[in-house]
Amino acid sequence: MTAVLDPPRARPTGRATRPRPRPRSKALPYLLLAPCAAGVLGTLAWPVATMVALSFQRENLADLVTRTTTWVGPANYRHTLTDRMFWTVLPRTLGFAATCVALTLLAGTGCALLLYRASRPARLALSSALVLAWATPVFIGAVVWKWMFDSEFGVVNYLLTRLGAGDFRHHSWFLTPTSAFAVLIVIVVWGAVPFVALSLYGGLLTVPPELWEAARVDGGSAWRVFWRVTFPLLRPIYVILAVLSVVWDTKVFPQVWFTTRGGPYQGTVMLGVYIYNQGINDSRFGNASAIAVLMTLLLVGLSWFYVRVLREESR
Amino acid sequence: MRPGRARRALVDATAVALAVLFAFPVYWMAGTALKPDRDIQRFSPKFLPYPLYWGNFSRVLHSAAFWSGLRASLAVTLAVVVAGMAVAFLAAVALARFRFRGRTAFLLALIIAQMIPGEALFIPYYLLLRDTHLLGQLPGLVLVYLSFTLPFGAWMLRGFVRAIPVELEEAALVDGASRARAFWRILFPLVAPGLVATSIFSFITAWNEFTYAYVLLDDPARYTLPVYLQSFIGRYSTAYGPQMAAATLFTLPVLIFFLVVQGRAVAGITGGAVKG
Amino acid sequence: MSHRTRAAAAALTLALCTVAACGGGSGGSRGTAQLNVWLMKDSAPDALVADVNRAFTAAHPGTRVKVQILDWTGRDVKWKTALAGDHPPDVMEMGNTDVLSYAASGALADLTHRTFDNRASWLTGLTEAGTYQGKLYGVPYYGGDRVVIYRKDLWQRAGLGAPPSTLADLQRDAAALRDADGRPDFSGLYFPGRYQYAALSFVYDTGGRIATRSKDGRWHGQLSATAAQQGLTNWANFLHAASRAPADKDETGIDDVLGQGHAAMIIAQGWQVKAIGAKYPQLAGQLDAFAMPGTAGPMPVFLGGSNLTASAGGKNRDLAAAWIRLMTGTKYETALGQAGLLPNSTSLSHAVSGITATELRAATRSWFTPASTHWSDVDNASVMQDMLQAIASGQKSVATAAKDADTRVEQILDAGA
Repeated sequence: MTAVLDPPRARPTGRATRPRPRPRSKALPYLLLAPCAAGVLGTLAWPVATMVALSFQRENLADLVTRTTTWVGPANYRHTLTDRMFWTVLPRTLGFAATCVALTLLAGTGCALLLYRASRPARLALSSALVLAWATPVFIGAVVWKWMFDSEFGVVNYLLTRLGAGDFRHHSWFLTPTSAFAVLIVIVVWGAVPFVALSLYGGLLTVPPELWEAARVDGGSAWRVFWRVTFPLLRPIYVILAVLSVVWDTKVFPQVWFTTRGGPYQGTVMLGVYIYNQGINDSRFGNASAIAVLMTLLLVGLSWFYVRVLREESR
Repeated sequence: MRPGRARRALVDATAVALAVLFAFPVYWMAGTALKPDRDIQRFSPKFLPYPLYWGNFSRVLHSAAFWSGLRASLAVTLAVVVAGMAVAFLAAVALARFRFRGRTAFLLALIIAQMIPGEALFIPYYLLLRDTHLLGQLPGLVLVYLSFTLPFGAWMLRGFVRAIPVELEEAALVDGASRARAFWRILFPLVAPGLVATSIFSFITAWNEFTYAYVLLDDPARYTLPVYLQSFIGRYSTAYGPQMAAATLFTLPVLIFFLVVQGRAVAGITGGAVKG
Repeated sequence: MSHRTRAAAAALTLALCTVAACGGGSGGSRGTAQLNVWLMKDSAPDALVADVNRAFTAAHPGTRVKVQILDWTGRDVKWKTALAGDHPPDVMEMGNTDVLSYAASGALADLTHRTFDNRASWLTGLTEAGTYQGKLYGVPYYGGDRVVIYRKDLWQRAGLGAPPSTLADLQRDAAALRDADGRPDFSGLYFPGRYQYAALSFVYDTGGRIATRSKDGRWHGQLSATAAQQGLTNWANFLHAASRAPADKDETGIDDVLGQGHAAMIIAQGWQVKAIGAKYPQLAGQLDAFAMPGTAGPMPVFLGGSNLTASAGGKNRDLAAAWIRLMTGTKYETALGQAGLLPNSTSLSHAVSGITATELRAATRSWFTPASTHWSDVDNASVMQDMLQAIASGQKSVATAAKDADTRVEQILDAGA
């Protein structure tokens, strides 16, 4: 378990990142890359190109069935960018993602530290529980959590009442969007923490314990030790986890769809549900494609700093 | 670092408490599978499924749709994982060890590919498979899943390969090994943990995916397991008992895969030349 | 290492072989026509469908019928992609609220000039659901509506006699049942806030409607009209008097509430009686049903159900129409009625008995959602359910909630393609 999830080190480590030019066939890298290029570009590029093309077409159900193409230029983009719903959904999605990412990284760090410090049986218990949570299919997890928060039959209400946290019998968690958001955050964070925790734990294992000893000897509190020693060493891992989490938590769909369907009062509709509603439900495929393009550009923008770092490294 | 015993006990207690929190929904899922219908939705929930009710599991295990779904899911997922890891590894080596034109662009493409929302791609993928006559075929579905998992896999593995000092391979080359042998005997075992992590991702992605499987396949005999899981949602009510039984059985292979690969990876590492 | 390589190669080969073996084409039938029929889950009994297919293949030698049962979740994405494909299914069962938008897109075959049994006496609600611009696209298949299911034992214990004939009587009876039980969370009639098909009946009961279309084709929400608001107010009052159900739930799970003894009555479809009896054996003989009473006579019921459609792009349009004619013919509709579904024609009322007969009688006064091709958008946006939840929870007054709902409905229905 320990070395399994050794994270990729994205920071330069001197000589290892500058491959020297070698006397070899110039075709070799392309040959090695060919299957991947075929799999990705070959299979993904065409649908993505279709999606971009659709974003400039009308494409409703009639168009789809009769296979007609009606170009409407930037009309879909104009419609989306002037749609009040879009400007409500967008900040909501970003706020939700930010909250989930922050909580996930915090909880993941906490779990990783616990895993490191705990005795063997406790560590085994926690890591097994994390793996179980990770292995559960997303929509089953959403269904079970929704069930547990049910106002009549839910375990959460029952336990909260029994543990004396107040009278939660028949308490409705999905009555207001705020309350529904709390439930959604629980579901998303629950599913996201295992990967983060286990990755960080793997990272902790690669830190030489002498560094900690030295820091403690210099008179640091646990918090300072973490901030000054551990975090800088693990920063590359944090960067990657943060980027991945931002992308994944912005794209959430099944967790929302199978619990609230975007309700109540459309208050939990986020970009993923919005695209699905526009596309599959309302048959506005052109519009849905435009929103998807905008969403992709947004995510590229959000992770631009990382993209730039990558380009620097690649030179 | 030697914390006091009280400190240790507190850490352990917190760890166990968190373990309970994370595992509880899974316990609830498995517990529901062992309850008869009338015990599933109750005003005072039943925490222990006693007496154990095997009817739900029995119903699932006797269902032909479950077994055909299992076969289809296993075939598709294994193909995606094995083919995907091989392809991603080769690509990762190319991206990490060589300099060539288009390297940065390709890497950017891999990252951007992961950001595209899948909900907008159902129709385009359907049109692609329709026009290439791969609709309704499991290989078509495998190709679709590969296009999801390859970007992430190649990108992650590139990071892992870069972390390994190139001197190790060069030493092997100096010793007279061919490039292929250098890759295989030196690089591959060191990248093992990366392969494990990435393959688990691919496994989970392909194993759990529902909508594309439902849309791109048309013969019920070829539907994968997630479609079978959804089939318990009726028009007016959901058959929770059998659904949770199917879900429990559905989660098992993921767990088994995880346990198998992580055990083998550890064995590979301790036998390899990595430190730390 | 080499052992692992071999193992990996073996796994890959095995997987690819299985995948390739499964990758054969779907049923290449040369010389025989294959009719692809897509039916929905939880509709007609399998045995009945098998009978129909046997009769059909006997009457049309050289034909094979392949039935696929679709789940209700994800049916939209399945239909839309299949209709865009090269081999759309020949016959599709669609929920009656689904048909219109597909009819408007040209994906369905025009069945106006085909012959079907009992056409003159088809249930109006189902026929309307399947007609677009005067043409028939979806043939009425079966219907379903809701009645009040009650526990006879609790009824007797509270000293109540005949079933109520007005809404006020029902309210009074529900209060009596609640008092007889005494528990604070016991409902005389368990009525969750988002139960739209039962709640909106109150609107039609007082002469209101959801939306109307003016001559210029624009839709106008009518929920803020006086009649509709009166209906919604009646509903809110009824909830507070009779029900302890939460405002944010819909009708899933009400059978469990009744079965576990937390309510004396629920509003549900007739076949639920048998289902609840099977799940909770101690209630097996204790359940009966009566039609939901309104302010003056029976309350109009929402007529749910399914229609059978044929795809415009299918290769076997004549065979498809023939299959639909057989399935919706007198013989098999009678069998459907005996199985607890409402047959598609009022002339077949002799085929149903017991609670199904109660349902059929109630269906004579029925309402249906506005005949707009965009109504499913309104449904997907949960506009009605949100309005009802706001009223039931007290978050909005009836007037405000109705006004907001009207605005949303007009926005969506008048949005244009």
